[in-house]
Parts: sequence; structure tokens; C-alpha cells
Amino acid sequence: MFWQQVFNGLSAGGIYALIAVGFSLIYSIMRYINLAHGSLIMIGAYIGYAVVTATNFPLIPALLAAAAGTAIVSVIVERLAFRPIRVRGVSTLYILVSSMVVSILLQNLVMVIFGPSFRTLPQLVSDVPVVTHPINIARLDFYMMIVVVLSLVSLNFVLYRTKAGRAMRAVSFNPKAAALMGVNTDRVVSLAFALAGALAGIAGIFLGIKYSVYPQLGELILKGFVASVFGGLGSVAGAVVGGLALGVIEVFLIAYGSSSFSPVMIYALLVLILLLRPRGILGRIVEDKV
Amino acid sequence: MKRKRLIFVTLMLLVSMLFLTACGQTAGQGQGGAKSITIGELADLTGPTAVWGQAQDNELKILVDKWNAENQVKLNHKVYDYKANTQEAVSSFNKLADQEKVAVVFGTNNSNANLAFGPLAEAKKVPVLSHAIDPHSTTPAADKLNQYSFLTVASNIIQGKTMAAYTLDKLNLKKVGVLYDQGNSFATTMEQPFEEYFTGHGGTITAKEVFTSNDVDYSSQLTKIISTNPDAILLPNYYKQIALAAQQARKLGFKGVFLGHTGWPSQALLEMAGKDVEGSYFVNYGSFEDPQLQNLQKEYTDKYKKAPEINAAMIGESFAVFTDAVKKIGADKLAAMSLEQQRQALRDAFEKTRNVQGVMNNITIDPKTHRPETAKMAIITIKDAKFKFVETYQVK
Amino acid sequence: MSQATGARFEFHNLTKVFGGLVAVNDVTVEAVAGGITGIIGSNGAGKSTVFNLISGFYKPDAGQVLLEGQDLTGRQPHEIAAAGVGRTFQNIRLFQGMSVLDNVRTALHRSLDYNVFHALLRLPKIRSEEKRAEEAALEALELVGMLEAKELTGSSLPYGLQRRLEIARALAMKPKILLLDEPAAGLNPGEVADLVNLIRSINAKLGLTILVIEHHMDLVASLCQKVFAMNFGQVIAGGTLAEVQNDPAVLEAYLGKGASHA
Repeated sequence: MFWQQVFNGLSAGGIYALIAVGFSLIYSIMRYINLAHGSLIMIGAYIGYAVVTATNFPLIPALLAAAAGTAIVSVIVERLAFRPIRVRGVSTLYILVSSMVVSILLQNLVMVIFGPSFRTLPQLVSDVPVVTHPINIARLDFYMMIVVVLSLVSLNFVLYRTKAGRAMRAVSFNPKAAALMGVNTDRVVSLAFALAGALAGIAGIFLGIKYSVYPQLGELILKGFVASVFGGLGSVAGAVVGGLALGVIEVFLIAYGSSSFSPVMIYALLVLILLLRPRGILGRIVEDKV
Repeated sequence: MKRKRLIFVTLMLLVSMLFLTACGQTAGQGQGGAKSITIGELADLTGPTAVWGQAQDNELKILVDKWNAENQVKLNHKVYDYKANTQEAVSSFNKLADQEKVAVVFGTNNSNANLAFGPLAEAKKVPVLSHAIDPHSTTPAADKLNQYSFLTVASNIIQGKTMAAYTLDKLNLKKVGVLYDQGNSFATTMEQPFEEYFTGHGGTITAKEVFTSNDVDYSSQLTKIISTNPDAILLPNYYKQIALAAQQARKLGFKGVFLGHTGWPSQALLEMAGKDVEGSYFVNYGSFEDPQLQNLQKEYTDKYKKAPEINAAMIGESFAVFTDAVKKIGADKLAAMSLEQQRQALRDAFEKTRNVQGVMNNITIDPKTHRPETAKMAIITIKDAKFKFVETYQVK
Repeated sequence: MSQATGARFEFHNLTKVFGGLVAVNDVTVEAVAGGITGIIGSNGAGKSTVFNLISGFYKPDAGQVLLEGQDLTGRQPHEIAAAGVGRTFQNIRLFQGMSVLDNVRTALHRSLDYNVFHALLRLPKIRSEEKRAEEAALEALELVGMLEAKELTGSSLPYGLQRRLEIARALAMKPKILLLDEPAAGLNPGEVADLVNLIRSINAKLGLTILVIEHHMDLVASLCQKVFAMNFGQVIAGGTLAEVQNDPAVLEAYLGKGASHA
């Protein structure tokens, strides 16, 4: 049972990590929290659902379609709802509120188009487990973990091995200086939103397969947000560590503690971590800008 | 600008007038020169559970029309949509009690709504006949009885006991694990009597795990449950939670049976997890495959051109209790009373309900709990991704 | 190199009003092509605002910025940077968490010929382009004598080196002109002397037109061929340092009314 629970934890944690990374990416560059990220995940799930039901695509093309579609929505959201506020240079609090409004708007939009009911994606992954002994590894979870690892490795490549990634990091440290280096900060921001959107799309389609597709699917983002704070808000590596840690801790609290106290315990632990180490596990100290 | 605002205001006025007229028409139904009794209904006509509320309201209309065709004293039927929302239920209840001056309120199927307006019914002395599941709607605490609230169908206590007895005696399964939402009385009030009866009659609860309403992944809890090797897992939850739990349990290699109660009968469950819940058993108030309900089904389908939900049969039970009370008091006598007298007379009569033949059950209301203490329930299984009526079953 | 002759750089009648307060009022400056030009003035005289107007962080309300006759007025910062205007900041703005090399490589953003799709599909091209970037970055680091420090993170450097790194970063873009905003701020006397040598050697090697804002009169005296004095958003004098220092308007602004009569 021990290893089964470890796998359960990593499998849940992988999804948290995917959500948290998208969150952290935006926070690290923009220094604001995009509350619409959850709705983007939900949009990803619906795009996946629509594509698969309309075309019978297998998993990989469906994933790509959801990632691309959500990336586009994410970029549009930034253009329409965040950029005008950012350009005006007023408090990021307005962006926070704007992202909340966008989130509700997207939810309602989907409700109007698809209705409030639960949708089930056609079976994309066979039911036959990868292995059953010594632990049971469902094929979906197995594929999901591969995709999560691949997405995170690609993100890492983009961030640390390409000029676009360098530009993104430069903007995250100092947007003005980056602009002086010839970096088009608007374009970098769009790219960051596209990447975060693509991750949201991938997370969305897996959440959709695992937990069905419904307008409030994005509410699961809460765990991803907790994971990113856990690991250190604004740190991409921290988001991964935070996501996996949250998944495993949560599972072990249930497995070896009690399922009735685990929700309380997990949040108590979060508060404790924030008290002892405000920057999270791997976060950098968030310096206040003048 | 000013002109625009004027047009806007005028439009709003027009729209609200339309609304008022529309409401006025429904309220006017059944009013004639003859003596009448005003009855109120709370139904979730819109919102997430609208299918249930509509079935309830549709059937009550049939029953009221039938009554009015056969009797001198007419029933004046007022319905309010509470949108499956607790606050809305409270304000609708107030309107029925104070403005519509109803003698009795029918509804609802929503336990939370009933728990919310229960105290109002006490304060305003308005009797309520509901078909909710939570026993707390009539007994909010162990030593407290809501004098004006009555349940007419099997509460979760009966459901829990029935499923426990059926599992032991008919399915011959002795080891059961439980997974339920610890924050939802819909689940907890079924789990408790199930567990008490099951362990009291030779069964073992091998593991008892909980989750919270917004959780979607129960793999960890299920791993723990499965490691105790149960024959069956009881899932007394909402259909989405059931579907996810069943899928996840199967992925973890669980081969046994799932058990449940009235959260199960939903087409969406079959769509989401048809394969995974194959061979499951659950209790329901009744089944339209049961010959006893053929009559209701036919009348309903003839009138509305679609199949009824079980809620139609449930409102039938309440209506049977109501007509029995009216007949005992005497319809003419009741109609002649003042509103306060009507309410009190009905309450007292409801409390004395004995062996009243309802649509599904022979109803006896226990004066100490204001609900039936025993009821025949339908046992349903899932075969070939369809619900299938097995038999009716009553705990001894 | 095209810089051998030094680029012509000038701005005319620049004006910027912030909520009724005239921060920069009708300022005209012509930089010495291939030489070093200074702008002096007390705090709040509007010097930094002038730089921010040139580099596009503020949009001027009036006036014109011309680089070799090309009008840069009102463009986006990244466009102005791409057109050949490099700058440093008074309070150093490094990419703190990034390595020295990456700091400089960021400056080559524009010159790298690949995009995200290349990044995803054509790996060899990235490698060659990134190698080119690295070489160019190393060249710029060599120019400021920081080759050894290339792996360190920006935030770990002493202040003097951070200043140098900022200059290296600006140089990596191969700018036509370089704006230095109080480069000696926060440096100790030894570091100031090193900085003077560095600026002079860059100017000599690249023939780069340099515009520097400074309080530090030693630095201005040893570097600038031409100096403009600003006060309350206006240029009150221009010429050699000696001329400017003896200008009655400057004396009055610095020493108070009546000083010029003394």
C-alpha cells in the first residue's frame, strides 16, 4: 500500500504542479496573480472535449489542440483584460479584480455554450493498467505523468536555453532594463501567457478525463495555487516541487492519518510553512518595488 | 442620455407588469365562487435540479385537477419556484405563508431548504409535507421535534437500514468499506444507520473514509479501503462523486460491488461511469418498472409527453397524506375554518396518519418523529449500463 | 565600424509636463559626435527625465529626438534601443538573479535570428545562434574587463562591477550612442577612477558618442568635452566646463542670488 500511495500522491501532485507552474510563470514575470488561470484550465478541458467529440482525435492531437486553443484564449485574455490596466501603471490590485471578473465571465460563457451539466470525454486511454503488481498503475495516470514531465522539461528548455526564455526572465527581474535591451516586453508578456495557457490546456484535458468536464472545473485551481505558494510563488522549480510535495503530503495524511482531518492538516501545514519560511520552499525573496 | 434612461425605465416597467400579470394568472387558478382550501407548493422549477422540481409540480397539478374534478371544495394551488436555493426557499416560504395564506406547504426534495424554513414553519404554525431525505427536517436534534414539519417518504434512516439489510440478507456480502462526503448530511445521515444496522447484524465495516465536497480525487482513500479487502464499497453520495469514486476504485483494481442510495438514479452517472458501476445495487423510493407505479406513469406521460421522475411519485405520497387528513376533518368543515384553524387541524391530522395507501407505500407517520419509521423501498441494480428494478424490499 | 566617426545625436525643444509641473522645459542639447557630453545640475533639475524621454519611458509633450537625423520621438523603449540608443541607470537595473553572461546575452535579443517555433523544432539553428550570442557577449565583457566574472550572478557582484556589467550589457547591443545616468553614483573614489578610465577607453576604442549625467565634477572635468547645465527643467548654460562653471546663470543657480556679483 505504501508505494501505491506514493504513486497516488505523485499522480495528483503532477497535476497540481502543472497548474502551479502556469500560475508561477505569470506571477514571476508580471508580479500579479491571475485568478482566471483556473477558468483557462476549464476552457482547456472544454476545447479538448469539443475537439475529441467532433473529430475523434486520439490523445496526443487532442492534447496539442487543447494546449494551442487555451494558449490563444490566454493571450487574448491578457490583451483585453490585463494589458490596458498594466499600461496605465495602476495598482496590480485592479488586475487581480479584473482576473476574477474574467474568470466568472469565462465560466458563464461556457455555461451558456455547453450548459451546466457534466460532460464526459470519450475514452481516449485504454482501461488496461500498465502494471498491476506490485502496485496498480492506471494507463491514464502513467501517460499523464509522462506528459507532465515532458511539458515541464520543455518549459525549462524554453526558459533557460532560448532567447525568448532569457527575455522572459529578464522582464521578470527588470522590465524597464529588459525593454532597453531591445526586448519587446508586450510580446514577452504575450508569450508568457501563451505558455501558461498551453500548460493550462494540458492540465485541463487531463482533469477533464479524470474528473469529467464541467464549468466549475477551474475551482480545482485552489490546490494548484496552494502548491505554488508552498513551493515559492514565482519560482517555476518551486511550483513543481510544491505540487509534487502537496500531492504526496495530502495522500499520506489520508493514508496514515485520517481522511477527516487531512483537509485541516494540509492548510495548517501551509500556514506553518509560510510562518517559518515566507518565501516557500524554493522561492526567491519577493522584493518590493519602489 | 435622459431619453435613453426614460426608455429603459419604461421597458423595465413593461417587463415587470408582464411578470405580475403572469403571476396573477397562476395565482387565480382554481378560484371560483365555491369554498376552497389554499395549498402552497415549493418546487425547484429552475436551477440544477429542475428536472426533479418540474416532475413534482407536474404531478401535483394532475392530482389537484383530479381532486377539483371530484370534489365540491376546491383546492387553490399556489406554486413558488425556489430555484434549489436555500435563501430563495426561505423567502418563498414566507410569501406562501403570509401573502398567499396557504393552509399547508408541499415540498421540498431539498433537505437544506427544509432545514432552513423548518423554524419558520414552527413560528408561523404552517404545516409542511415534504419528501426530503434528511431526518433532521422533522427532528432537528435528538430531543427536539418540529411540530409542523412532516416527512412522507423514507428518510435516510430507512434507506441506510434497508441497504444494510439487503446487503447482508440478499447479496450475502459481509464486509463493506465506506466512502462519503463528511460535509453533506445527504451522505452522513445515510451512512450512520447503515453502519449501525450492518455491524449490529453480523456485518463488518472494514474501512470508513471521508472526503470534502470539492474534492475530486479519492484515490488515496480508496487505496486504503481496498487494502482492507471489502466485498463492497458503500457510496452514499451525489452522482458525480459516485462516478469519480467508482472510476478511481476500478483503476486501483477493485473488483467488488458498489452500494448506494437515492443519489444514484441519474442518467449522468451512467454516462460518466456506466461500465464502472455495472453490477452495483442501491435503494430508491420506487421504480417505474414496479407495476404499482404504472398508473401514475401513464397519466403523467399522457399529459406531459415525457417520462416522470421518481419525484412525481414522492409528491404523490404527500398528497395522499393530505387528502386523508382532509377527509378525516371533513372538507366542508375545513374550508369553513379560519386560516389558523385550518393549519392547526391539518397539522393534528397529519400527526395521526395511519395506514394511508400512498402511491408507493402504506404510510404511517410516527407522532414522535413525524415521519414513517418503515417503508418499502425499491432495490435497483445496474445491468448493461442501465438501471434495472430488482424488487421491493422492506426491513423487518 | 560605423561608430569610428561617432554618431550625431541631438534633441530639440524637449518638454514634459507632469500634472501641471513642467519637469523638462524646452531643452535642446547637441552631443559631441564621437565625444563625451555632460549634463549637470542639482537633484530634480530634470536630467533623468530627459534620459527617460530619450529612451522612450516617457512620451515628450513637445520636441524631437534625432539620432543621425532619424527621428526617434515617441517610439517604444525597445524600438529606441534597437535603433541604437544604449543606456545605464542611476540605480543599477540588472537582471539580479541571472548570471553575468546571461545579463549580457539578453542584450543580444534582437540580433538573434530565431523564434519560438524554431526553438521548438529546429534545435541546430538555436545552437549556432546562441553560440554567436555567447561570443558577442564575451566580447562585451572583455571590453569592460569582466570575463572572469561571467558565471557569477548579477546580485552577488560588488557595486562597481555591477555598474560595469550594466555598461557591458549596453555595449553588447552595439549602440550608436550611450547614455550614462550618474555612473559614479554610489562608487568609492577608487572605483570612480577606474570608471573614468573605462569610459575613456570605450570612447576611444569604439569612437562612441556618449552622453553622461553627473553630479561628480571630477568625472565631468576629466571626461566631457562639452557640458550643459540644467536647472528647474531648463538648460541654463552650455559650453566647456570652464565656461559653464563661470556662467552667471549657473553661479546664481548654485550659489544663490547675488553670487555672480561677488
